[in-house]
Amino acid sequence: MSPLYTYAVARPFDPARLAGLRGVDGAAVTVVRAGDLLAITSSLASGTPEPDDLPALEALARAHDRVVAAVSQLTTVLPFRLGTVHLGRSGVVGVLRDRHAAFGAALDRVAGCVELGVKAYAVARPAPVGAPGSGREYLAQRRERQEAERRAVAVAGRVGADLLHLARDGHAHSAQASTNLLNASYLVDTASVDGFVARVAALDRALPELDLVVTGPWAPYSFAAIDEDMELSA
Amino acid sequence: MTPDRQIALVDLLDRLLGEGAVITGDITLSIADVDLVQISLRALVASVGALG
Repeated sequence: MSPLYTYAVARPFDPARLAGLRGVDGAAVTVVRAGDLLAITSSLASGTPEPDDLPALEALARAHDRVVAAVSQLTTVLPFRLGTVHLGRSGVVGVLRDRHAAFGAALDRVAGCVELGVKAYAVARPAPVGAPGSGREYLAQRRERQEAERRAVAVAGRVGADLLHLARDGHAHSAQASTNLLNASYLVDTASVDGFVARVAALDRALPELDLVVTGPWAPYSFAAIDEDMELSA
Repeated sequence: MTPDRQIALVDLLDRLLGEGAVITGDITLSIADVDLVQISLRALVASVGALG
């Protein structure tokens, strides 16, 4: 029973369209079908990398995303967490059957949508020219700087909430740096992507204290969690 | 979406680690220890520049 690296669960599509697609370790990507669900897999010869083998882990992450992104061009996809391996086809079929209802519900939730990332960075304020002339001046400058930082944090929070109105769902990630005031993902209807991106661009122009960056479109990674409590289907 | 575009690793990891459909059960193996992998990959990101 050979281990299968498992990238995602998807609604059925013609597997011939994956011809030539290579996954982890360059292995050919194949599908395992159970009813109206497909698992996207490839056989795993080498096992998953050790946690301290960083180049191998980066290669794994990029291979995982390459396959998920390719499949997301063809059908609705629900990515698995990085490094999910099942023991043979029967194991994959078992998971698809056991979690049929939960996968179906999650796929319905993300159907017709992409994930867009939005990051807001505080724009560094130009330092005052010359050293402060007095302790009082120094304190005033420091207070002003701190107030500006607080305002930027509040504005970033409002941007995050504002964009949620243009999305079906939102998810906050951890900050990537101390100046990264907003790091969020939004689940956006494909028809609304242009409007969403335009809104971010307009906010970026209107808010000099923030630098706004859009990433994606991504497969709906941040919205793929399934309801583990959903009753197992027969 | 341009598949060949070099995506910033830090943005990719935000999505690949801790997100995604999580399947439990004894027929599923995950990378030895997801938390450990997360720490390792964050270290990798830090070493190549956080915003690279």
